[in-house]
Amino acid sequence: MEMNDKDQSEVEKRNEDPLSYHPSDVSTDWRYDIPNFANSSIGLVSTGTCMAVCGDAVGASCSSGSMVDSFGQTVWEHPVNAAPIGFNELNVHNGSGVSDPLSMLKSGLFLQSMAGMLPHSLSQFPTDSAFIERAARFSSFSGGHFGDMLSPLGVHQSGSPYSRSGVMMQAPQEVLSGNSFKPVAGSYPQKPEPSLAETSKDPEQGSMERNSPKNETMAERSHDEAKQAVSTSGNDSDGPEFSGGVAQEEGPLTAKHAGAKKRKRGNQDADVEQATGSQQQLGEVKNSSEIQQRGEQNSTPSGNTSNGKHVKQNPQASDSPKEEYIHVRARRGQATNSHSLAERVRREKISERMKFLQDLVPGCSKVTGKAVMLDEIINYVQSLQRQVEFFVNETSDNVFRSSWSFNWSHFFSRYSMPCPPPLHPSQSPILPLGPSGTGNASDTLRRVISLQISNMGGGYKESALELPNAWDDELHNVVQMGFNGSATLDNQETNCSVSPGQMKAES
Amino acid sequence: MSLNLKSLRTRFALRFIRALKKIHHQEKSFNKRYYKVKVAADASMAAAVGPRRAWSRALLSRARLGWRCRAQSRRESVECWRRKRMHGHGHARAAEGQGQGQAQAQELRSLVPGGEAMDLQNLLDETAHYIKCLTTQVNVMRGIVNCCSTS
Repeated sequence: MEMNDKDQSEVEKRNEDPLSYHPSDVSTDWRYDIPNFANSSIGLVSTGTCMAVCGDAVGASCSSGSMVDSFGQTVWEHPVNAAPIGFNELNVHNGSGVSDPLSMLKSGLFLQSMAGMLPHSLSQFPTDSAFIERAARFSSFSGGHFGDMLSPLGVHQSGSPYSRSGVMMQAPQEVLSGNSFKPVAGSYPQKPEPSLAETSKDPEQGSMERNSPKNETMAERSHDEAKQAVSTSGNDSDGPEFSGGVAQEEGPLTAKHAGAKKRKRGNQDADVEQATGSQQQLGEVKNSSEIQQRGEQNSTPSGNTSNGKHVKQNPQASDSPKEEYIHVRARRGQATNSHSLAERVRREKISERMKFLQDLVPGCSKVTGKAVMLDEIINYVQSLQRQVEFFVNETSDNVFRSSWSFNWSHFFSRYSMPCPPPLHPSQSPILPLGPSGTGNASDTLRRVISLQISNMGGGYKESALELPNAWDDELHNVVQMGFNGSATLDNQETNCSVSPGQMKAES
Repeated sequence: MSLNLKSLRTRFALRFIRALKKIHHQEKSFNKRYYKVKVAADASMAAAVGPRRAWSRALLSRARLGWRCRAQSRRESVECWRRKRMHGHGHARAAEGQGQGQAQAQELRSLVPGGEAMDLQNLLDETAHYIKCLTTQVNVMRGIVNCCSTS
């Protein structure tokens, strides 16, 4: 792995072309965000799959495919620790036309991979010959004026956003199924790449014009649908959910980031944005429009703030694409004071949790919006509490009706094992428990209790150990636990049950 | 195939059944039994979860202190927490208030035990865990009732 790193850096050095790209700022900002990723629950998701995707996507692209593949593997295996190193290497060795977008893509994607996302865009490299032309054009640019370049790009890409978005739809399901990410990578649309290249090329200069807005709009829509697909798949855990969601959002995210970044003031770091945005994307579709509008409003008066700040751009920048074409705004972006930053982080986290809850609560996949979602959650919690109430009623009615005619062994058997093996007859007098159900249920219980009381300590345990039956052993332990020890527990519950009763009696 | 003694379900089932036994032996009046079973269900669930969740802590303190004392102490603790949190998350709170679903958030706070003094983020965390444990509780109790009704 280390050797691979060296090889790649060498290859990249060879292909190096001078660029106006400022790796130091990028890397600094990127490193800043790494701890956040490390702490996030989605930090180290599916590194193996990432590797597979990276290898697959890149290998098909160009000569540097193998290098990216091995690099990706290296990087992904040590996402947190090796990331800064790898990233710096990437930044330092920006390649030529062909390899440059690759490296920039890698750098951008690398950040996203921190969140366990897939470099979907990599898959698009081989398919587009025009991309290479664009890449060459990018490399020749010192930054700033991507407008002319972007329009042909936009035109080129506007033709197939629908097909791509359609293809993207299937992506999240595949991702969620936990299989290899290769189909996802292969099916991912192409548009993120030039945006990535542009953004990574121009992190500091805000006068970049946006990419085709249509693509981003389509990406957003498909992204939304993909998100719905994600939620319908019903994953409970955060991990697959995030990886899937993140995977989907890779392409549109990068595109949006690109667009948003261009509108940003020069202090925005493309990779940081993508990195943070990817995390934000997970729940922010519904809030994106409002955030975006706010961002646009803030952009003009905000002016230039510190370069080192990571303003978390609203990646969905499809609000005013036409405006951008008309007048290029040098400085655009959200408010950069720490309060709004913290607020944004908070909002992202809340939306993450809302997504998780959406999976927990049945039938909430199609619900969008915080208020409606909260309503659903409240209803569900209320229904659960009502069910508990009902069963408490049932218990107090039925369970105590007969003299505790409760076959414990029966209960445990039904609960833990479908058909517990029968007891050895020689041991039945010692341990009356078991599915054979010697005697009355209540008798069994009484016997167990008496046995417990009389055979406290080692003797009983020895007899328990003699049991060949693992299930009986287990059950025995359970019952022993239940009867014997943790008198503290009993006391606690006794206190619980007694004190309210006493209070009631007093009243 | 044996009981997973570490699972939440088993822990809760054990405690609850033990409590039921105790109630069965001690209480004969129906009203008190119902109340005690209810408290036992909550307390055994909270005890099975442990003190690592805010809602379980709230339930445990509720069970220990009794309903009346709990109300008082809870009010005090809640206000104390609220004061502390408002300092730190003043902006967050304001933002939440402006955001959609402030009323629902309040309602959710009233539903989830111990949720009064939580910011929305933690509240959602607690709600998720609470939902999971409630479903476990419901399943266990349904099993118990089914067992009793059939046997």
